[in-house]
Amino acid sequence: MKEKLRNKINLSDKDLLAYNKHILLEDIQTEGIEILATKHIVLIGLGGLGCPIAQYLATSGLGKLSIIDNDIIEDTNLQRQILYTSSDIGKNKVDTVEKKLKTLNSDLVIQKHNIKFSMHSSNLLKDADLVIDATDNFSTRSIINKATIKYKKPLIMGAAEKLEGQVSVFRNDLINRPCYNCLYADVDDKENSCMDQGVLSMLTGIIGNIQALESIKLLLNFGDTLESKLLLVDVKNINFRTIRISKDPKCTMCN
Amino acid sequence: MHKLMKIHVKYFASVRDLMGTESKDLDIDKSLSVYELWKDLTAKLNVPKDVLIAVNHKYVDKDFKLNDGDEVAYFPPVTGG
Repeated sequence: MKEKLRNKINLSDKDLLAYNKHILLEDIQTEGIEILATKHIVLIGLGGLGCPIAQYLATSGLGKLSIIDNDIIEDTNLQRQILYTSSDIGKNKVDTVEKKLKTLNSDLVIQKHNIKFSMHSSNLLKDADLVIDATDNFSTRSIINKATIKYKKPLIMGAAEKLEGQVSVFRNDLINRPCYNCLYADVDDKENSCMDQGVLSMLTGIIGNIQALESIKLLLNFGDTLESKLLLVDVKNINFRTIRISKDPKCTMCN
Repeated sequence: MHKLMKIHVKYFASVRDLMGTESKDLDIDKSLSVYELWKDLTAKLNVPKDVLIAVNHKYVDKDFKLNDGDEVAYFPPVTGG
């Protein structure tokens, strides 16, 4: 199914009101809203990070959002996965998110995929303008990195557990830039999944919102982004630090 | 005899909790990689062996050799969501 994105020169009076507070920003203006209406983001993961990302991208006037997740909503999700309510327990995440986003922005084109992302489904990234990794484990993150290198797509990575998080923008659409594997190749115990770890709900909101923010900045080309940088977030001590990342000449993924 | 090096060590997020302090200053009299220093610092502690490391706000490999005046930061890998 090929759905057509909105025409960028066709903003209605309703749009001008809906996006008024963004249009008033010098870095966005009407032109930014028109550009966003033509853009397609692929969001992988609809958990603690994916929920705020999906919500804010929908209300920003994005043209098309592809959502990928094969999970069912559970009781333990509700504390931080803010698009779900107790009546959604047992339902598919992609179906529920689609319904919620449609109530927020009926013009948003949504493509949903009730699957676990793998290299077999990597062609879903083909016509994306950028990809957001909001998953919860190293092996899927590694596959997403590989797929974005294959299809030359920018990757907005966010991760959160306990009271700490990280965000980075990997320009896998460009050559000679660091990728996720340049950063995480050295880590041995990569499967410390969040399944058995706690996570503070506000942290996932903060990290997810920074991912949504970096996506919009990258698409509209304003400000300094976290390109080739890693943002470290420690909410326990409300400490933020940014470090630079270089391409690893020995990286087996991007060389 | 190796020249004495002054190293400022920072611990970030859960590594700070594990180490019980935010930072410390060290005088080092031998050539050390950032991971060798980590092993020395954590020799008597039960801490995960996985750690990410930045020197002077730049991500480095575990075999990066420390220089006089460096600030080395140890921070945890994060993969959840």
